[in-house]
Amino acid sequence: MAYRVLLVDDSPAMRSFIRRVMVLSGFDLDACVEAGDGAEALEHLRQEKVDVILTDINMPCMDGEELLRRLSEDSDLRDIPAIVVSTDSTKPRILRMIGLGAQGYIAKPFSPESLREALEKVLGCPV
Amino acid sequence: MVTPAELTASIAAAAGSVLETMFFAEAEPCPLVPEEQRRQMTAVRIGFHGGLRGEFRIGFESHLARALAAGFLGLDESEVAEEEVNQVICETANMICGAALSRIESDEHMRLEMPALAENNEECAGFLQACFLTPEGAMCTGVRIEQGTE
Repeated sequence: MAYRVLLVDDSPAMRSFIRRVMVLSGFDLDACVEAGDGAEALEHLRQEKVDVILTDINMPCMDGEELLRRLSEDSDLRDIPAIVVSTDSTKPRILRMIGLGAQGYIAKPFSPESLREALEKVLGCPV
Repeated sequence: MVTPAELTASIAAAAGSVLETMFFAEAEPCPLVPEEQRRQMTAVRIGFHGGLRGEFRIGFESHLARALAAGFLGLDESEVAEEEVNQVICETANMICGAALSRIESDEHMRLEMPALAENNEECAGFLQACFLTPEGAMCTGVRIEQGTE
């Protein structure tokens, strides 16, 4: 099965890196939609469906924390699994993001294997 | 209270981990580079807040910056635009700073400001400095901790 992924990160370089790592690790990528912050992500989500969201936290305009909060309040969007990809690996931050509904948390720097494992875990099958 | 030795060790570990994991590159700690060489580097600064408050700076020699960008983006060095080089070194700075602080302050709240390109002729007084050597060139870090918490 091919998956549609929404990548949310204000760094175009990081979005490009994650997209490349997904492809190189054999992830079956149908489409990769990209957004530079949470507000842009919500706009995309109102227009097209995705299977999983990978989001940074520290972004301008709307950060990843607010994005998760908005997703959890939206009955159409709350069931889309979200994985946080962040440089912040402090316990309070991880607990807060999990509390807001994140189903996975990947600390940067990360290996291709850890990204793949997190995707497999939230999508519920080998990818 | 974090000691200078703990801070230096944490930055060295974070720099090594980021370069190895994300760039498949190695960096070895080396003596501080001469001031003139440091001023030629492309530099990034990040303010941080939380249990610790201060500023992190990192400078990259131009060839290293371009090589990192090419590796990160999967491009040939000649294909990488200047803007892409800047994006990659800002992201690299963000990862090293975040990883270093997370190691030290794993139970504390932390907030990083957006990384921004910096003038590298700024004073380094009060900054704890360290340098690292890679096959593509040198990289220098500096961190200044302000007293008190928020």
